[in-house]
Amino acid sequence: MNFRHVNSSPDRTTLALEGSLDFTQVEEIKAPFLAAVAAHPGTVVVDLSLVTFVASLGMRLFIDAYKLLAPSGGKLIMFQPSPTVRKILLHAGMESVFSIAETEEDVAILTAGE
Amino acid sequence: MNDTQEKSPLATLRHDLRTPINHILGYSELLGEDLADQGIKDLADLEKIQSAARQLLGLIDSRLNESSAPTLPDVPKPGPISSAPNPTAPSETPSPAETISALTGRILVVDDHPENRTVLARRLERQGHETAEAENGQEALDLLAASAFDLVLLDILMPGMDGTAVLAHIKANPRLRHIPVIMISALDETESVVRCIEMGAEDFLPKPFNPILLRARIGASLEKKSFRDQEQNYLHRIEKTQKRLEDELNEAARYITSILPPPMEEPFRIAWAYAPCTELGGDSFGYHWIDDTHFAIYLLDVCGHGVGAALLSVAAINVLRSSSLQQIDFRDPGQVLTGLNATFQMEQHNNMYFTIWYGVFETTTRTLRHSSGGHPPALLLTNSPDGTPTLNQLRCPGTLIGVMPDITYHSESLPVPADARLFVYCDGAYEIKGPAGQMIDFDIDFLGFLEKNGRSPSLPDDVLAWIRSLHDGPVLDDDYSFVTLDFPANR
Repeated sequence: MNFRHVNSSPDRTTLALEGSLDFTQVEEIKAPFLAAVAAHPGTVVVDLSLVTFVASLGMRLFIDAYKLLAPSGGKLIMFQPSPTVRKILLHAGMESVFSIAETEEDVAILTAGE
Repeated sequence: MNDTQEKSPLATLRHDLRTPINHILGYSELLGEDLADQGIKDLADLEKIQSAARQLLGLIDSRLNESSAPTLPDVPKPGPISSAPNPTAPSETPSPAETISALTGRILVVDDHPENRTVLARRLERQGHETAEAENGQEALDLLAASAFDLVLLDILMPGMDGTAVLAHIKANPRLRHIPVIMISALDETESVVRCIEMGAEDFLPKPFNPILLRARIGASLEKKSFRDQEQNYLHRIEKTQKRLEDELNEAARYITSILPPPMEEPFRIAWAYAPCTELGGDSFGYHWIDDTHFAIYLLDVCGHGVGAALLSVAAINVLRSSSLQQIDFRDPGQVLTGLNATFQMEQHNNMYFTIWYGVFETTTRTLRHSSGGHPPALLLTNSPDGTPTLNQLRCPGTLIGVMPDITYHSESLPVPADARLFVYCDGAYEIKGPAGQMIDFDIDFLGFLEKNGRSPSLPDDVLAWIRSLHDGPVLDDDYSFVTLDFPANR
């Protein structure tokens, strides 16, 4: 499991994850990932294009990120999940917790809608 | 256990001559100490006696030697011992050999010569230790069996059971082997000493006793013993605490299993399997009649496992079992989940949340209403007219319970055909890492298995056996629960 801080602008931060977010892998990136989210309140875009799987504990990571952002009105956007990961997010009813965006335009629309 | 040197007549003679001389030395030192205690400082005559005795010891070693078998090179010469600071020398401050030791203990002195024992015991008592004496090996073992000692001073050369044999007994006894043993040896018993050290003796003391050496070696041994005792003590405490925690975890696990409903035969056949991945799982499920025509079935999965997850899962399942949510119609799954979500917000529940699938079967209309809080879809297995099995995924788009405040959950409903079978399970039933490290696929692997084996009467156990066979490792990563419900053909 890899985690990268891609870039930050005043209104948006992009964090990229890579690999399988399963039981053993989540613990490795949990602390740095959540620290990065906490350091950039506002809109956080999580690039999931290279994530192959999300287990229930991986979902916990996104819930924790959402809980960090929610009090200050921040937003969590999941960017380009693979069909497998998209299915997992939808199974867990996560579209009511955060947005899922397929393209840069989607992200721009979601961010502008704030 | 006979010493090789014992066979030499000259060595025996040396040993026999040294013994009384060592008594002269030991008693005269004790006498000196007693006189010093009484304030008598001029002990020149006594020192002359001691000096003569040491000279005699030196003569025994240098003259009574076979030319073919010289004294072993590493045997300490008497010289250094006689040049040791004289404890009875006139001095304003007591010599370090005579002060009360910082660490005192209960010491067993084993020697066949009563004079040796007395000299040693009196000296040890002067240093603040408590002593007991044994005159042979068997008596030593009897005393060790009867009461606790911190240290054993053990003469190597004794008639009958010798020191080496006593040491072997001590080290072979789990109750005694932690007690340090210091071997008392004559100057030319090096080989025996080496053997004893290899057998587990702590140290050795050559005769005649140098009081400073005696004090230092006993102090070091007692200190090591005290650390070891402390270590044992901690270990016992840890073991006790661990035992208590295990007992309590098992008790809690029994409770969690006890609130699971028993399998059922009429009017529905219900079977299940439940396997927490730790002592306490975060899964729970239940089913019961709400009224004459409504039957509820539900399964919840707290994110995580262990004690914290188990407590939340028990709290939530008891709310469902007792239908205790204010102004909630438990026949309406959407209402139930909305009520649970309002009651179990994660901020008020140790930041934990859960997923749940909740369904209600109405017997008069044969409809199944259901709702989901982020839970994997329940499955309804039916047979097409041509006999092929079909798995219908019972989905409802609600999110995890406790994460988002103030949200409303909705219900879906569907008619239940005759001979349909319902599967309710947690994600632990399919989030399995296969041997190649890849997670198994929900649609292809999991649903594939269920389509093929869905009618098995022992399906919950079959699925568990299947995922265990796929999983790399003895224990699954997540809790497992799986319930099947067979609807009656007609009612």
